[in-house]
Amino acid sequence: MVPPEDLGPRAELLTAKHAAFIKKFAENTSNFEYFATEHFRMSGVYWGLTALYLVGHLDDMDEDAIVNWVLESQHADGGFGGSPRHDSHLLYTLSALQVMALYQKLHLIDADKVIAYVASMQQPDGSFSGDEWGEIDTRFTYIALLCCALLQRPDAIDRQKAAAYIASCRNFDGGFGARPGMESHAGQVFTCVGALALADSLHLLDRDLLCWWLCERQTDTGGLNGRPEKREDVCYSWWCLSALSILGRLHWIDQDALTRYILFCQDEEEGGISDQPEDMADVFHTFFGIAGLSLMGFPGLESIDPIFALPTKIVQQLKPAAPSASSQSSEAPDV
Amino acid sequence: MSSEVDECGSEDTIEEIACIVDRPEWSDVVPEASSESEVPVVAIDFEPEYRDIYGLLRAMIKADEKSQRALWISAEAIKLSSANYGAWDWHWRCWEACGHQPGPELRLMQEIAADNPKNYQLWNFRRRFALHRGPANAQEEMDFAADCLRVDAKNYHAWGHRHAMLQAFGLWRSELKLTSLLLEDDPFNNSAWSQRHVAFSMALSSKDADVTVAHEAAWTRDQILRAVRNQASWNYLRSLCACLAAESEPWSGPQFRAKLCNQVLAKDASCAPAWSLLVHLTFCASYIRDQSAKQHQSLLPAPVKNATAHLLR
Repeated sequence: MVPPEDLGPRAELLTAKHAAFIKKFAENTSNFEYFATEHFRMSGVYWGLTALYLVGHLDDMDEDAIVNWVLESQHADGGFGGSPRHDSHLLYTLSALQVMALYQKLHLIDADKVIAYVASMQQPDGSFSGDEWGEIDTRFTYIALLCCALLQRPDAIDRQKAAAYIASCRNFDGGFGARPGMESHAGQVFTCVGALALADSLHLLDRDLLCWWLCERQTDTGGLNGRPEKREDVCYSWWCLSALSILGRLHWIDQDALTRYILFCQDEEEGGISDQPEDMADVFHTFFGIAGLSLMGFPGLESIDPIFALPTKIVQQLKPAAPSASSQSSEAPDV
Repeated sequence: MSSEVDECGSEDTIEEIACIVDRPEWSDVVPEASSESEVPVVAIDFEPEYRDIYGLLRAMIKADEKSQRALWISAEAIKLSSANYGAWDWHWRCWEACGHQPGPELRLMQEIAADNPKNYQLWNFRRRFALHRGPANAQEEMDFAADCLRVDAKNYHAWGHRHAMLQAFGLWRSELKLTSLLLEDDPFNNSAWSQRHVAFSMALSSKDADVTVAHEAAWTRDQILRAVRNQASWNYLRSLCACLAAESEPWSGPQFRAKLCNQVLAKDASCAPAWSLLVHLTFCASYIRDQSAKQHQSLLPAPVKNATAHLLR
């Protein structure tokens, strides 16, 4: 759906309503959804808190309770579960570290244990599995590299092999899939570009070919899709844009049109942002919509780092263990 | 073993069970309370079943009991919350310990796939299950994924499953047929084009190759002409020519592609993928040496023509 000329109340980013929406979701612990999403709550908390930070409302949440809850979710193997009584998984290990980074409490984490867990997931071919059951996916390579970067231990895993595995997932169209030979997908592209950036290996991709594929993700609505000939969805406002931003090609898409599309996906009454206009809003799309606007320099939002998926100010406070987007800009000339 | 399955009511659904914890086969088990989620009082009707089933599952995990009843209760837990990776993991351990009967598993996965065919846990389980059963059941796996593709022809997980099976069991050759069928039905299906790229590369490099780049390029041209603004088919054509060293072949080389571009542009003068390929061909070193490039260069929009003029001198 192409946004109308007059966006009405949605012409503005309704930050206070979005903050209230996230807070309400976090505090409504008495519905079935709260039970049914328990196994991935760590990621939900990360999405919600980062969105709140970007709109200047992080203080709305109870920091001590969240930090303690995160610490309780670390298991004996060193990894974190989706919540305290769910097994460790790389997905939630990264979300846990990102939440602790937002609160500048990474020092409270037993880093050696986390690093041992992350390193144990690397396979002989350089890839990473997400848990002890062996699912392989390029997402997990990005997660492992970012965990090591956040904990200032970039060399705890074989970065060169990790990058070589990512390169083996590169396709004819310049994009990347979940495993070698699998279809290019903008979500996987974000993780692969982020992984190569963290491994100082961006030379392994074809910048122009990939960025052309990424900018072709913009449809007539202004929104972005994840694969050719699919419908647009607000979450790609983060996945495509973060990759374009890392590669210095943000201007290859029509940013005004994308901004209008994201704004049009707001729920002007209850707050929150949905995947497509007039759908049900959720925390996931609220975060990705706001993060996309932040990458495009939307007024009033904190800036977000496209590699770390954390506020730029937070990343700058980490010791420079791995290349952040700002330190790589010299490699990505805008032409 | 099978009588135990029946006693546990493997065919029951939770709606038919008043209170699982009161059943005789669970009389020796104390449900393990959750540490956090049961704190709030939940008013929704099906919450007691949720609490009971997960309480029993946690008791099984705590006691390290990998029995038929543990297999059954973990399946019930999956039906209630199909993305719960812990429930799937315990289910797998029980299945391994209980003699690998495929029937109930196939039904469970069918049920979950019907409800949410994009569930990561379902496909992880299915892949482990399929690799464990081996090549004798490969066709069943291909059919399961193909059924999911009939509902959503771009389901990334279903394609990934076919990919894993084709790879593990060396069946790539048969994949060209499925992608032909899907693409003749819908030429916009980028997933099918992507899979076809691997399948065709495999077929071409096999010892007794019965495919040719020329035939593939002609087929692709026909698909492009059906829907000239389709990014997916144009991308495939470019990859076919670029990746398979087909530059010198008359049926897939630059002349073939330039002719197709001109054919399309004659009908649809602002077709972006055709312009994109034509500009690419104009820049392409091997083509620039060809005098006919000048003819095509004259078709380019003025700014592109000016910017590329020096290349053709």
